Amino acid sequence: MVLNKKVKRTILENKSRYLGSFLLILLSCMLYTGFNISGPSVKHTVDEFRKDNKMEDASFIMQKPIDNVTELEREYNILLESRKTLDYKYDDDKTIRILGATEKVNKYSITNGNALKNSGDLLIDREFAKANKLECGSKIKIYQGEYVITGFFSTPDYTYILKTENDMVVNHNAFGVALISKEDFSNIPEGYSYYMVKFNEENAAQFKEEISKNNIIVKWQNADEITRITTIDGDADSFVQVGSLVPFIILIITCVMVSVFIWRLLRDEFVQLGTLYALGYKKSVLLRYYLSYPFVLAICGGILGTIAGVFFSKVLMSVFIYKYNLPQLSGHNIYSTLFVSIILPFIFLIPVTYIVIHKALKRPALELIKNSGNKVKVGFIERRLKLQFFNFNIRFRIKDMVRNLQMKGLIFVGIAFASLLLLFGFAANDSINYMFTSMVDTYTNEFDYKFNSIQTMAPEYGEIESFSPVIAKDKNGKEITFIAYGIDKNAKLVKFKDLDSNPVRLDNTVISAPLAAKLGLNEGDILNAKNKLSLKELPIKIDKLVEDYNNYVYMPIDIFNKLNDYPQGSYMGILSDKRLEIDDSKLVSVLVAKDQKEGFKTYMELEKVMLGILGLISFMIGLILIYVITTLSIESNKQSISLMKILGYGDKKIGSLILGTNNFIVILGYFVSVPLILVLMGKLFEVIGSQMNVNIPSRISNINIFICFVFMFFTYKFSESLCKRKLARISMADSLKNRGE
Amino acid sequence: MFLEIKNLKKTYNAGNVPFIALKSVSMTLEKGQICVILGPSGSGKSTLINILGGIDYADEGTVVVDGTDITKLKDKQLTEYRKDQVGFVFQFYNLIPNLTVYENVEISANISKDPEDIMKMLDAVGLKDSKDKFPRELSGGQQQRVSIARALVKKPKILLCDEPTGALDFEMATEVLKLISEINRKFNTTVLIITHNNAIADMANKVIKLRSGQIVEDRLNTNLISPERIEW
Repeated sequence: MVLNKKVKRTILENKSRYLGSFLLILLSCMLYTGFNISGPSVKHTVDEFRKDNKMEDASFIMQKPIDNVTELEREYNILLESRKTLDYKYDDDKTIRILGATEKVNKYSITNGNALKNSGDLLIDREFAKANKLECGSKIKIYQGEYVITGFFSTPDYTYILKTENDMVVNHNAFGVALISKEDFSNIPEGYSYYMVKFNEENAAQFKEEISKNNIIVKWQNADEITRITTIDGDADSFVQVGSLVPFIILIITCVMVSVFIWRLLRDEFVQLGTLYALGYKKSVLLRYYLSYPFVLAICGGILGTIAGVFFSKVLMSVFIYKYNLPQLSGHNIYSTLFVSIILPFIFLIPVTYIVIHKALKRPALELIKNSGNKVKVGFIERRLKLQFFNFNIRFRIKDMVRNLQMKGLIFVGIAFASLLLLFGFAANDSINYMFTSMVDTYTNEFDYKFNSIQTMAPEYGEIESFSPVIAKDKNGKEITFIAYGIDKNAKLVKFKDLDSNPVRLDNTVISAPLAAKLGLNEGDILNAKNKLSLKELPIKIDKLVEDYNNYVYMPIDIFNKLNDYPQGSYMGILSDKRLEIDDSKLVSVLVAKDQKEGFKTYMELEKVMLGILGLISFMIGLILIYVITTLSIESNKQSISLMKILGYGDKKIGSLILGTNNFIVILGYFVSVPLILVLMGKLFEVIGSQMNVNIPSRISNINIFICFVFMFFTYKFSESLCKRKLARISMADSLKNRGE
Repeated sequence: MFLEIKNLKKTYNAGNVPFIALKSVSMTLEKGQICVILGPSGSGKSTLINILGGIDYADEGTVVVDGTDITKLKDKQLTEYRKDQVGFVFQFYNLIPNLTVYENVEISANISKDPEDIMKMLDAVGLKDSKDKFPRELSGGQQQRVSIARALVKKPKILLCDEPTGALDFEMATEVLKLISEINRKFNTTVLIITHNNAIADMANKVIKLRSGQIVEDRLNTNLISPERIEW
């Protein structure tokens, strides 16, 4: 049809606005596909991995070995297996946690190479191997024995390879896990054993009671309280959330923008429309013709965006693969995601533009030919504005803003959204940074040795501590688990600050402020908790609330021991500012502050990549939106601009009058997004934090608020400079050709 | 001599075919005179007024307005020239629809160094009571009067009127011409009117006829008729 030739020509005549819309659609489809393939694929892979490899429901350490494993398995319908482990110093600054291969619980999968077959075979985690230049066939010496790496492995209880429960970030260079056969491990005298249990019924409490009868549970951890197991869930969930929110917001913004310029296109073509009606064209034909504009955008943006999304999902998955030790990631629901991604732009664009087009086409032919419906109307608000006290320039700008509320609103929403994305990266960065700094400020020790049983001999060096998981009911009556610590009241390596940032003496019993808020406690209140292992009631009097992101209670160790009926002077850990010589077989873990710092540095490097991606997306959204909307605004003011030029207005002055209000809109949009991001981050961190059992604070520093503002304002000014070129190109002849108002 | 045009030439390229709009046009005008330029479509009237108004460029020749050759001016200087020295009145008024009558005049006063009082100007064109109305609430003649007030508020040295009565009926056209004539007398503004309408020539001091880009008649009118007596 001849009309179709016009589509191509009109698009080419207004390249920038169609290209901008196309890019936004492409971006939203790319993000949708990327996040919705990677997030669910990771979740699916992890779920299957946990199911197939029988991930533990809990792990625990007993004072004495359990001698009736088979009976217990039968009686409680459980899988119970013990595993030996030890932290081996591979190098001065590097530790490999050696794990015994299991057959029933936390079974391993090979990600590369061969399974354990012969004595002396060893499997290692891929990222540690990569960071330390180890390959299949490389040899590792563990104590007196030499082992050959036969492959890389993953196990469901070590998806996020954290050395201790206090670590936040992985350091692949300094810590890794390796697997050897049970037989080989039995030849190594060092190390200790713990049990892993998988329940098939709701009988964990009965089982615990049974094993406590003639034995003592030294440590018990449910799988959902172990950060190295659960962190990946929060990460994958946040991908799913981003994938189901961000692309839709971009699509909604694009949809409004396309509707606005399709309406402008129609308005400019009222006379042509009327003429086509007069020539005998049917409404349905014209409707199809105008719908072809959003159709072209949707089909191009949808298909290319989806293809780009497939590649983007690979990038996102590679982040997971680097961060987590997973078996081969398998795609989940890929075809349905691709299908939805391609049709999404249609779902958004076609109905809205249909309404807009239909509204124009239902006008009578005569009205269209006379263009009588296209007279500029002065709105209700504009008529009632009392602006006589302002000078002309201010009045002109205010009227321009009121007249173009729809477009200004779109710029506002677009800028606020782009700023949110940008601030998200910085806020995430600042929040993690705050957590890390807060941790480093609180725990100034260089080493933290945790024993696998209660110690009674006074240490040669260091400050003693004890700890136990406790449960208490929160304000809503829901049971929550946290750690209660006992600490030497003269300790110098742990430093608390109260809510006014004043130091708190360690002869006080303190509770972290977020935990106190959850439990509805204040200073002077009694916390009625229960020891999770012994189920002993622990009435704890709270002396002070302290500022921290973690959930904990600290008390003097003598009070802790008394409450728990532990021998006076006993302890379970030592904090030290120097390395201590302690028999490895006595230890569960050793936390090295230096490794944590290194891990944090690596993590921040990854964060910078994320900041770059978010910055680029924000820049694109901001640039396209401001450019397209401002260009529309310039075109709808073409006659006035042309006339102003004839009257002697310079381009600069016209630019300031026509585009000046955008300064205000951009600033407003940005500053609205600042408190909004803190609220949204708070909600997101609540979800992630609940899986990591921490309270991630939602923070953003003033300097970063300023940097983001400069970035957004630069984006706006860059876009404005492009628009000004367009403004300069408006000819004075346009005004001379004008007919009527 | 207030205005002196010498050997003015202008050619447009419509595709590959050159179109000569002005072929060596020369003319003069004294301060305070009304000049009517007559001619059929395509005779070069609009090109001449556009170059004179500083919104188009000459290929050759000189246009000296009050001692300044505007063909030598750069873009910025031309903007200043339009701002300070020229007032435009268009056939279709070209008012800004979202601005009130007052504001449509003010948009011009806003950039002028020494503008006339806006209310005084509106009073002069008989629209003092309509200052808060929007253009679409006015008749064609009233809109053209706003356009004249807008042109005159910055006290231009020359008023360029492009078919000022072309879109008006007889009564309204007479009103507008009367106003132009009064303004000319009151402010001693030099006025240049281009029109198809031969009858308007009777109110001008000078009449120039253009055909195919050339002046075919250039005469002084000694028998001036006031606008209200002009008929067509």
